[in-house]
Amino acid sequence: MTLSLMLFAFSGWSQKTVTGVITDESGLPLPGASVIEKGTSNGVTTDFDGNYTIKIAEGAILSISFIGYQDVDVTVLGDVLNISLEPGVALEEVIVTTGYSSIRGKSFTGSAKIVGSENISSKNVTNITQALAGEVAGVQVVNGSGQPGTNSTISIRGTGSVNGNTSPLIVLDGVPFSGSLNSINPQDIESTVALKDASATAIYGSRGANGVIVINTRKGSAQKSRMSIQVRSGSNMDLLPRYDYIQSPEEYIGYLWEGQYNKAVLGGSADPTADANANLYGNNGIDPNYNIWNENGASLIDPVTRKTLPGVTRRYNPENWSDYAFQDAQRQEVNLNISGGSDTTTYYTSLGFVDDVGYSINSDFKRYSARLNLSNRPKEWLSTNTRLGYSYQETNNGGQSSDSGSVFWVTTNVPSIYPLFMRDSDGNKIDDPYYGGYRYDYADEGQARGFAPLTNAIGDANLGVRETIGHNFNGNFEINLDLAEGLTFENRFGLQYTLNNRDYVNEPFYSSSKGQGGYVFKSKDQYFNFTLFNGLKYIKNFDDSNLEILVAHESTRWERNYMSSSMYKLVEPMGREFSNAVISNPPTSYTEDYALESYFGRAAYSISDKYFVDFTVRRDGTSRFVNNKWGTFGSVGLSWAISDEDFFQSQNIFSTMKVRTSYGVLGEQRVGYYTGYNLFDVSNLNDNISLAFASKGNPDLTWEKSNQFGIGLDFSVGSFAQASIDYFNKDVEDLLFSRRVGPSVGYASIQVNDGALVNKGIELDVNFHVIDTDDFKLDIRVLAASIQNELTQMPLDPATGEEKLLNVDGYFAQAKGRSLYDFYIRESAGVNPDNGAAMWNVSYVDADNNGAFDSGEEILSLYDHKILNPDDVILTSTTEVYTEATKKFNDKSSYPDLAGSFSLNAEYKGFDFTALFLYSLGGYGYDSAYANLMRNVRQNADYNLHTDISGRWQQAGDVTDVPRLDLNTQINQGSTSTRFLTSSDYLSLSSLRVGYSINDSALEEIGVSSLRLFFTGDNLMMLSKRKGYNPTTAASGNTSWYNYNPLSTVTFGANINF
Amino acid sequence: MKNTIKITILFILITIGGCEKEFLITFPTDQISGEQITAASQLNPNLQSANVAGIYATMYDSNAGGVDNHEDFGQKSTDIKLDLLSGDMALARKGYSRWAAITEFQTTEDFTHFHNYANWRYYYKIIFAANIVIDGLGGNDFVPETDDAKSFFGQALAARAYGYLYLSQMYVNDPSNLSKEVLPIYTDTKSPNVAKSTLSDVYTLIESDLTKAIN
Repeated sequence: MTLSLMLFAFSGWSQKTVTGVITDESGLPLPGASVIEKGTSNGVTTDFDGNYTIKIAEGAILSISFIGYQDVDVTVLGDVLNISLEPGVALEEVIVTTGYSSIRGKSFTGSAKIVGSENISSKNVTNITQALAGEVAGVQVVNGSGQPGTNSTISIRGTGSVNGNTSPLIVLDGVPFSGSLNSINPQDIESTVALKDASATAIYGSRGANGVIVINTRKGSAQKSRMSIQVRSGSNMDLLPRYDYIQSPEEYIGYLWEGQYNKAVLGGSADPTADANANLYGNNGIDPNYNIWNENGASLIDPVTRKTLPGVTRRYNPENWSDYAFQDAQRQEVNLNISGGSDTTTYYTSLGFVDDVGYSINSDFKRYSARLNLSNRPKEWLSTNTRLGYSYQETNNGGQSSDSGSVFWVTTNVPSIYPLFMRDSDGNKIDDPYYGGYRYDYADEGQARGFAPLTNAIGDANLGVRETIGHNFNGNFEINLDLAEGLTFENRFGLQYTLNNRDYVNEPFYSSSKGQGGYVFKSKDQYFNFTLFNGLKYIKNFDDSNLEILVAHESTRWERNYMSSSMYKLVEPMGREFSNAVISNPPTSYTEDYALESYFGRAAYSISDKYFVDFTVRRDGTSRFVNNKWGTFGSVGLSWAISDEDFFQSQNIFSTMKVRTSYGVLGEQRVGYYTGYNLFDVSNLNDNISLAFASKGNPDLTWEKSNQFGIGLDFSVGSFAQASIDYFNKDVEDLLFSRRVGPSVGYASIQVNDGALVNKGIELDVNFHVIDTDDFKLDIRVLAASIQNELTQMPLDPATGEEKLLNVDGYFAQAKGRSLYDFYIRESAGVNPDNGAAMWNVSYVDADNNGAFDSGEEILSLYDHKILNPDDVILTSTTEVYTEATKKFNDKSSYPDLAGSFSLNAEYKGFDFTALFLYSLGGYGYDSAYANLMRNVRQNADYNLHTDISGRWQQAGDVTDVPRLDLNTQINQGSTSTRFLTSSDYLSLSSLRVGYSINDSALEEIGVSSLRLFFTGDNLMMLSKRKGYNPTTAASGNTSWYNYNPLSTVTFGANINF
Repeated sequence: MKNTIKITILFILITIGGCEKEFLITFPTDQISGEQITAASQLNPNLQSANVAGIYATMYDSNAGGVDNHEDFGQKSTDIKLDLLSGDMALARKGYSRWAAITEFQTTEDFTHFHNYANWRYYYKIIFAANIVIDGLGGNDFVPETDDAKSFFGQALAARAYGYLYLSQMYVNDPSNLSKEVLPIYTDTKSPNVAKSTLSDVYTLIESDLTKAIN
């Protein structure tokens, strides 16, 4: 307070507001041009119509610049300044809005990439996360589900933590955002900036270690009122390929018979054909109710061809379940926005509606959104910004559970002999007395369907309720108070409030809640996030240099209130209210919360507008840690505009060049909210309190620290190409690590700070202007990133007091010098041609010196055995017993060697064309969805098969890589091994658009200033190692049989500006 | 005048932003922390019995064996597995093939099978829960004086013996070989992973725990 009072003594300086329009040489407006008060960091960008408003010191010089045009410096005399720029090439002179401040691209010492609004709003996506795919080098976007409205997960520069959070911080209009990004209409987004290195993100300290995505919503302009309408309409489809699974019942039953035959042979049967005939249907086979043919098991199959005998006819045709699981799906979107303003007030307001229906039944997303952004300058020394957004969302996600209720699991994996609808003894469908149509076969009336008995996912998806209604509000309020010349006080608070109401009903006649007479579950899930920022900013200009200082305090509080309850025995079969039910289950409610508090400062200094340096220091406290709450972080960054040096002018290859480098220490704290405490479950034991131990806490847990170094070069070659090359090294120590312990201590894992890893890599972003004439322009842009990950220190093993040699974690194992995602599984050795058994490699020590492998000599885990027993002579052999096989590093990693995108942008007269391709090379994924279709099915026909099963071993001498079918006589035949490790290389067409713009005087007469018609397509093509294998749905490249393959979308639309 | 307004605005903004001292201290509400239990116990001494009750609650907890599937629900799932293995119960129909790995004798051949993990994890969880009570009362050498303490200590010792008894039935191939190292023994909650002890030591512990529990 005393400080502020002292500073008032400096009042009494003068500033003025300048407005104008920036155009190109022909008078067309240049949106996104930067207008900067020379020698300061004060700057703005022009809006869509080239308008700008800037407040500058009296007599200051304005620098105006735009990519591809020559810079202009003008001394401002009046209040209005209109400038037309001449074509030319200059350093990227854009404003990087980093949240806490706007910085000129030239002086920016960090690595940041701006994604323009046209690259986001033109795609058929309902949220910004999906739109970022392929737009920034080193940024990976994983779109895990086709459910409309789903947020994708983003990671920047590799996986920075083992068990801590690895997603970037989202900053919306200067305030950290913790709501759901699908509540923000992409049409309201002006620009999105991906901040990648320490210099760019250190200001976010605790929260920027995994990068920052800064989203800025649109603002109005003082000069012009405008209105814009966008409509688009199209379809969502299932264009990405699916696995080739067997769809013919005759083919499938032949394989089942062959399995029975092989099983009988292996069991030493005298007459395996007779045994197979006898067992195909019956207690040791398929339920005879599901014999769809007019023959019994004994007269169905030709023992020689192992196919159905000629002349066998069907009693009925079982449905193809996919025909009833997928639907025609429409996508409709309408957006309206209006903006304008006066000298002291500008506004932007918008309304949006999107109705996005998924191709899977009962999956859709509907959103109504509204936004008001208001900027005000009531006094010369006081300005405010208010941004309010609200969205209402309805989501239905039926048939997407990760169990037998999954529509995707059943459509691919149901053996084709099973009908979707129940049949009577004559093979006729049965009318459903309750809901009309035919009765779904729930296999719950004595039938023993081998696959998913007692359920019918498609029936459930049609007859159940799975709806979430969400209300999302986000508001930012900002006050800037000019205290003295160059000194501004900024106060900003932002909040996000989300309420999700979920209704879940299982109807009473067929569903899994049949025994309870129907079931209704309701939850109220409320999220509240509040961030308050207070800062002092000081700007001082010297003759040839200038200085900017920011000191600030920020606090954040996040809270989730969850309440749910359920009842059963329903009156109305799909009634959603508790008053419709009579028996109660115990309700539950709880609150989760965390708090963060930070003090930070930033100083930036520039000399001659060529040399730039900035420092950041920050101290953060978090509630997630009990004893060690506080951590200190900071960074230093340098940049040098080489092209402004005199010597640079003596060459004519490069037209611009800038080099930048930074080093910083950042922190990460996002683990569970209460990992510092030993936690107990509270439950009711005969109406007495019982406290059962649930998990082990670690009160000494503290910040994970990430030491980040980066160096980058931005340059352009004549007017032919612009490029950025970045090298980075992220050294993360005190990893937040969920250490597995031997479960005999009473718990299975404990959260610790231990171990260290390095992510390093190179990123490249090149844009070639291949053709650049008045009529025809063609750009090709290539993005590439090669990221390596290595564990440099393993966590301590408390039992030995030394670094743990190996941490086996599912398909992967971690060891010093290896990456986080190195596969450590048993190695397939193909198929034994003599008996068709699957074989695996086994490493062993020949204890009895008989020169051959004997059971008991196997080494189960090779890596640690070698280190612990360096003198052992290790031999290799093969085994048909899975549990004897050796787990070892397979020298394959799910990290690709190279990943990125390339895009084609062309313009011809009024037409524009863009195609964006994504690619990845050199990684591997475990294709478990395929493995599941290639497994050894059981005698009761419990699973479908992939068409690749046709290559199976059939008789002695067959050389193949698909083992025999023997109905699980060989245990673990299809268990995890390198057999299903698949190259995750892919090429996909992520986005395609064609547009035509009309700028005609005839339109202006009816009040339309411009009109654009467009076609856009998203996710149109996926080429991968195996049809159906989509490596992009999980960061590890692995697959799941419950996966909702991302939607392919095609729409037509129009943009009309008034 | 202008400065007065500025000071007023500044004062208001800074006042709003003031953080209270305990801003960074949060506690769970879905589950309860050890610290909260200690505080609540001072108000409600009956909570002492809640840790003992917690041993029993673990016995029928879903996910008691840490594999979180439909065959993972504590003691009764073990009973089913053992009955199936010993032929006392038949698996009449293989719907989802849920218990098929037991009846087809795969779990006894395949140490990687989740059933083998789940039982191990479950009984050591019971032992840990018993050790929480024993540690809370004063350790293995505690001599209870009140009736409540006697009851709690006895129940905990019996629960620990029950855990080791089942483990020694399920994870020891040759019960006659008393000198073979078969199971790690934990008698408190602090110990890190230890090496296996002999079957003889395990039996000694079971016997001494049971004897003390009865007394």
